[in-house]
Amino acid sequence: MAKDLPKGTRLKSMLGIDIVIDKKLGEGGQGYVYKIDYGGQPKALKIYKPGKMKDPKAFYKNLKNNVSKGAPNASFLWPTDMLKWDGHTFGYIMDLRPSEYVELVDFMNAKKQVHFESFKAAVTAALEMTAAFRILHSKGYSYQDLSDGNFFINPQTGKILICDNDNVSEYGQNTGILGTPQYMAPEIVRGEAKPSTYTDRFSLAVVIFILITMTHPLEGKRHLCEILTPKNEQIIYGTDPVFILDPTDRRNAPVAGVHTNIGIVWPELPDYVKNMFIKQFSKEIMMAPQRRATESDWQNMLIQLRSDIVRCGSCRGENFTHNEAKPVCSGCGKPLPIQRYLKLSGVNYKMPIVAGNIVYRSQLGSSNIDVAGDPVFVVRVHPKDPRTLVLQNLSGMELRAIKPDSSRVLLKDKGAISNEAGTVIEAFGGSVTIV
Amino acid sequence: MAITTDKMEGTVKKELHVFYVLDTSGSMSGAPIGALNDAMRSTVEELRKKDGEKADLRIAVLEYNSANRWVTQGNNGVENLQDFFWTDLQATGLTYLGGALKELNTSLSRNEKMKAETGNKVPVVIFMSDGYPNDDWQEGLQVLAENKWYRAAIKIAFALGDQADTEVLAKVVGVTKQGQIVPNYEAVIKTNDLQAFSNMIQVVSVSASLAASSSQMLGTEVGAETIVREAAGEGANTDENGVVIVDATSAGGDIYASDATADDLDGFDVI
Repeated sequence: MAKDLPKGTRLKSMLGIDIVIDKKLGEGGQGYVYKIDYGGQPKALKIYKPGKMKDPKAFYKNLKNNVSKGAPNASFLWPTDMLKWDGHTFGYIMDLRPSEYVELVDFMNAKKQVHFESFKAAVTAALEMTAAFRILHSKGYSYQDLSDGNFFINPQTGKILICDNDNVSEYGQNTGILGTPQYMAPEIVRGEAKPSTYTDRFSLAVVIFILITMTHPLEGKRHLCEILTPKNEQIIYGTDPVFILDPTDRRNAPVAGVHTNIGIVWPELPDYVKNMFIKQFSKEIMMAPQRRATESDWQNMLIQLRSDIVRCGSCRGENFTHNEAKPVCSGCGKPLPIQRYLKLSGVNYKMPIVAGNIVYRSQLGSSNIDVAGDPVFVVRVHPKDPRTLVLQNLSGMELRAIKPDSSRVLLKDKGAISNEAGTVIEAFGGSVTIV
Repeated sequence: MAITTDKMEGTVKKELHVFYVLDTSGSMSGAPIGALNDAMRSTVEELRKKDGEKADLRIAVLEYNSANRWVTQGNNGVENLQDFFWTDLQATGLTYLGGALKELNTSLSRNEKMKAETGNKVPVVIFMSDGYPNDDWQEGLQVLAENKWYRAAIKIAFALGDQADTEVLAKVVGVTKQGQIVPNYEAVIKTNDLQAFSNMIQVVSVSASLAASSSQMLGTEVGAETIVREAAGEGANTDENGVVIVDATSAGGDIYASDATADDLDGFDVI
């Protein structure tokens, strides 16, 4: 009969913190996850099953290194402490996942029916993932096993939490993991490469595409083959991958009545989004790891896309707008609730002023990687007048603004300013102009 | 058209059929058939939890004794896991394995059980027997070895008790991709412990159905041998041919079965 570490088992962590086992949360191929009391704090503990890894000592050393380096940013459920190697196995401690966070695989499972609250939330999740990977890579790490099962998403907000950070390795290192089928870069599937920053970027592109379209970019007509043998998988994901919407190679095109999601979303996407997917999943780029888009490229595209999504106030349908003169809902024909636009010093498009839109640091001009994805302003409903939208300062500092009558005002952190055309706000060496 | 996220369905999934070929001959009477029924009920529950995640899982169960019968009565004898519940099997009669293999061959066809609109993932076939066949099983196996679905399938066998013929089972699961019959002892799990059997068939069923979709490690091939080895856990015994022997303590691949004593936890600084 299988036995687990019983409730109440007392352990001590590497950093000397007292641990008490509460209950088992889950079991995977690699190990077990328990809810624990960690010096008075509720935390999660993962313990590995012995004999599952090729080189446990190297894995242990890598994990220890990750613990001492600390989390790249708040999107990672990073190992913060460890259970020491006892000759058989070891473990690590991380934060618990809040219950409202759901794995991507559950969004993709028709039998679970998890939906994003909005496409804006879906794009937010893609954006958060991209920003997290950008920071991770900039610190010299690669993630190595991005798939639908190792990050969690809040369906309401699109906030993410990346787990399974035990395989994260420094440049040139590999813990023995190859990745997960459907998400591995073609060169790994072909057996020509090990996971790296470049292969991470392929997995990231697949995840971004799935988040937005709920469709795997390489699973069109060819994926409906009679039987998906390892040989067929080699072709579809490795030797001859073809994008489901490749405009010139139609061998893997979506099939009507089967690939319904892509038929709903793709026609709505703005051209700059379609073009980026078509380029990144072109045979040419898929087969050239060094030419794949960087996180920064994806971040710029996704920030623009996020701001272009406008929900109709009448039918509640979401529209992917693109600076039309008089935007109306493509569903019901009513005017969209865009009050004005924001001109941002770092980009060449205008952002509609609609509730929930966020101005990110990178939209104001060049910025450091760590802060490129930080919100500077959010558009919110006026606390006293629900018909009016205001711009709230999230920058963490006081900002200078010039009102249309040329008067100068100071906008406090967390303070808001009304959306009068002609107002200019200066932030981080750039500016936001209401037009 | 303006769109809303509630119009989105899951991603397109292929079907993955898990076949069970179960010996319900007279020798299974009593505790063994009771344990089998209990194990299968739990296995169905475990598979249901994974249904739709990486594939739409389907289950097909063939029992054999002096005759053979598809227990699953759904569409083409294949059941959707969402609405399938296990009904107890009874033990009676002889062990006509050859007949079951021929029936399996007929079913493994695009016109019979492999009709999935979205196509199939590599099927999983799990055998269980406690004895030696009473008919010409070799003829049945020759026929089955010609079947392309069977050649491609992940095939694992359980030998229950000392009377179970591991050599026959190793040959049955030893059909290669090219159709040769090469005994595959490493895909056979032998146990005398009914609880261990129950644990193992659940673990093996789930890991076999997810094998092609899980995280992969360098130098580890996805296949029946790996699934059996990982389910049995590190240090599992084997017989002289390589058949994995599972006893009560090593069941279920759960390493804490034998380790969860104070002595072994010393390394964790138990206080």
